[in-house]
Amino acid sequence: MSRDSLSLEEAAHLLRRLCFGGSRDEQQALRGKSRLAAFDILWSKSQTTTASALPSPLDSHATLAQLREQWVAHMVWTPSSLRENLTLFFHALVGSSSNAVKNVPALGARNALLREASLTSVPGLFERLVTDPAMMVQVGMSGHGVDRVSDRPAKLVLEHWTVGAGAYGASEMEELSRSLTGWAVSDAGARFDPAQFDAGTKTLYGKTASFDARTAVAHVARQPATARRIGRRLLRHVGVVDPPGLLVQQLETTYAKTDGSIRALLEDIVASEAFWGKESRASLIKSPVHLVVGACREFGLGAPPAAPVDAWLTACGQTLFDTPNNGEGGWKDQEAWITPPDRLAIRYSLGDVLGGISPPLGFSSAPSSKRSGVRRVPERVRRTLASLSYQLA
Amino acid sequence: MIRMTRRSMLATLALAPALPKLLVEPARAAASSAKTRHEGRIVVAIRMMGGNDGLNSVIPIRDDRYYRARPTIAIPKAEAIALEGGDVGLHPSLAGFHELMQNGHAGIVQGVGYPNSSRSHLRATEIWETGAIIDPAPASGWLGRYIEGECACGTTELAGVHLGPSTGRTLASSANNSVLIGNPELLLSLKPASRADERRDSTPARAALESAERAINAASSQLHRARKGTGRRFDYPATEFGQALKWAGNMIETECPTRAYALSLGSFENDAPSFDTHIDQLPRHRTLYTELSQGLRAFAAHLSASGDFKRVIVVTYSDFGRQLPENKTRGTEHGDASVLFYAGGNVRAGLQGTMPDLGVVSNGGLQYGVDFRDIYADVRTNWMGAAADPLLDGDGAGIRITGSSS
Repeated sequence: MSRDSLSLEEAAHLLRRLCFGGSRDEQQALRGKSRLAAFDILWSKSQTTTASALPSPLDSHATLAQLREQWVAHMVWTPSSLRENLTLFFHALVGSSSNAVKNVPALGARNALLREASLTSVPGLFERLVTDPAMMVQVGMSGHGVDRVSDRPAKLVLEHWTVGAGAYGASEMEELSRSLTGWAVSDAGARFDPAQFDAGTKTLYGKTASFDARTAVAHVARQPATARRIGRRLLRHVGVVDPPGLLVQQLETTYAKTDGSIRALLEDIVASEAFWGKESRASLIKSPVHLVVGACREFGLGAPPAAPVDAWLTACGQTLFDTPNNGEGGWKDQEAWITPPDRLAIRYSLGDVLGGISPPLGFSSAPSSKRSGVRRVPERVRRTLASLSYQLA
Repeated sequence: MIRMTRRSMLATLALAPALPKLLVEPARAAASSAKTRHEGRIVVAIRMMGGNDGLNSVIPIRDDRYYRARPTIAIPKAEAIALEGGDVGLHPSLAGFHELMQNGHAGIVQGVGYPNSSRSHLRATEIWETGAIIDPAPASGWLGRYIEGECACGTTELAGVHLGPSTGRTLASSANNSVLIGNPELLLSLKPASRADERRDSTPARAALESAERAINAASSQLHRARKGTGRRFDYPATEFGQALKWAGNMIETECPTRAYALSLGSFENDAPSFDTHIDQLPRHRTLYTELSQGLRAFAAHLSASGDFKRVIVVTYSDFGRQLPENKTRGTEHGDASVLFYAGGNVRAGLQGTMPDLGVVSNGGLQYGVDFRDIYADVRTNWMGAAADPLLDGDGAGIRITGSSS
């Protein structure tokens, strides 16, 4: 296929990989465009101003379930689906734990931050994230001061956000740890206390400076190891198979040249042969969120019934705002979504779930058929959702 | 979809790949009649999640040290179910289990553990499930190794079945022939997929999905058969564990080819009770021991009525025992030796092993007298008829829970 002119099928592929999937109209709108022009359209749609605010303001009594449901609805309705996909990507990368962060509006605020920063640069995103109250509480930065030094915040930043396991040693951990001191989070928000901050110079990845939390994290985010790791993760997220590793190398170069511009990385991916090649087709097992959001978008089903979908997502192994291991890292993907194979059976019940019927889960002695807001899901759609092919993007 | 009647199972045995090396010993040729005896035998492993307090299961009702160490949570002598000899008694909520013991269908081994035992949930569970104390632990489970290497059933997808929400490593093997069934009603409602999919090109992702689909179709097929079982006539508890056990009973009754089942009782989920009784031990034990007893009693009645109980053995395992002294929250801390429950239609019933000496206490924990690996070896060799597993490297002390006609 000429890269100057996308076919309908290629437009669908682009939408599936970058935007959870798109309706027939959305596919038509990209048909005939070049690869990069099509990407540009999706990128521009993601810039709409409404996307930078929380879906709707959360009051202080909002529950976690409401926050989850709101995000799912937003992912379905928003024209900025590329942006939501990136928000989900970073949400999984840095992890989330409602056990560690009990303040629901704070979890929502962090999500809004990710949403806003997801179209900027990786160092820029991390620089803002490291002083977000919810993030600080989750990694243990609150109260982490000169006299109460803990390795945990630095370890999490190095291992899960940036360079990854094996690309840092004790020295990096110690110096980053020192840089992250001085913050405390209370109900009033985040506060920096110079008295609790280790103000000396630190040497981090070859540079010596009076790093603080923001500058230290930005510096680590600029390391080639971070570029490689983020590049690889992005490729996995959009299902690109790149065995020679050439695309990762290219992403690393682009990252260095553009200071981690997320747009530039995505353009490289969309312009690559690997993204469109045979090996990268039917190569991505959709995450549960991708499955349900994509189904609603592709078939024009509108916002899904909140409670059944919320329960279904957890049963499928993906609870928004609660990644595994108490928020240390994100969900395992690909085959993990269908391990144990039971999970595939749960995924096949999506058609019923979207119609408001909760599937019978667990070992209750009678099958449950709770109906909450019955809606019509056409039979052919049900059948498609219960097919093996539909599990693949 | 595999329909496994006895005849087709025997046909599959005839077509099975060359017997694993372990079986090719001259002595085995003479034991072919023994092979028939072992055929169709089943092991059910029940995990008691969290570390069961052996001292409050089998209670040293004549030992003052027990009552001194547990001023608020000891079970009073008058409440315990006295066992022969009178030195020990069972927790009152184990009355149903006691009935099975009296019928010759159940027993308890006292003082079970292993050298330098772990008090960490993860590590200890890994040891019990793999049957090995080497570090790092093997990837295979003690029953996983059986169904992979020794069992002709190893070629089916359902050689091992976990029933319940969690997996664990008991049935794990590189043959990938065990399946988790966490949602039986959902599996029953599966409709066969449209075959139009078959013409697509294969990718690793698609292959993984196809494999998962085969597994759930096989499970669904077995569950449909199992629905014809008579489990609903028996008094299984209306809990996850009770219903899982009922499914196991139905699957066994309807001649499912599965040889090893794994279930768990207790859960680390937020509001659910577990055996990890740091806090308020008494009510949790009442709930859980009742559930265990009621479940096993129904299971025994079910399979005795169908004539299958004599080919089934149930063994429990738990992370570790608990310490002798109680703590400040009416509970107990992680300890060492504990008890192991077993049941079946062909077992050596009654109390085995000895109560650990309450005067020999190490960091609060009790000494073991029976290495759990010997119990596993007994099940593997005498019950299932398999050659010895070198990882089950216990004392070789000859403990037997399996019946004399094994």
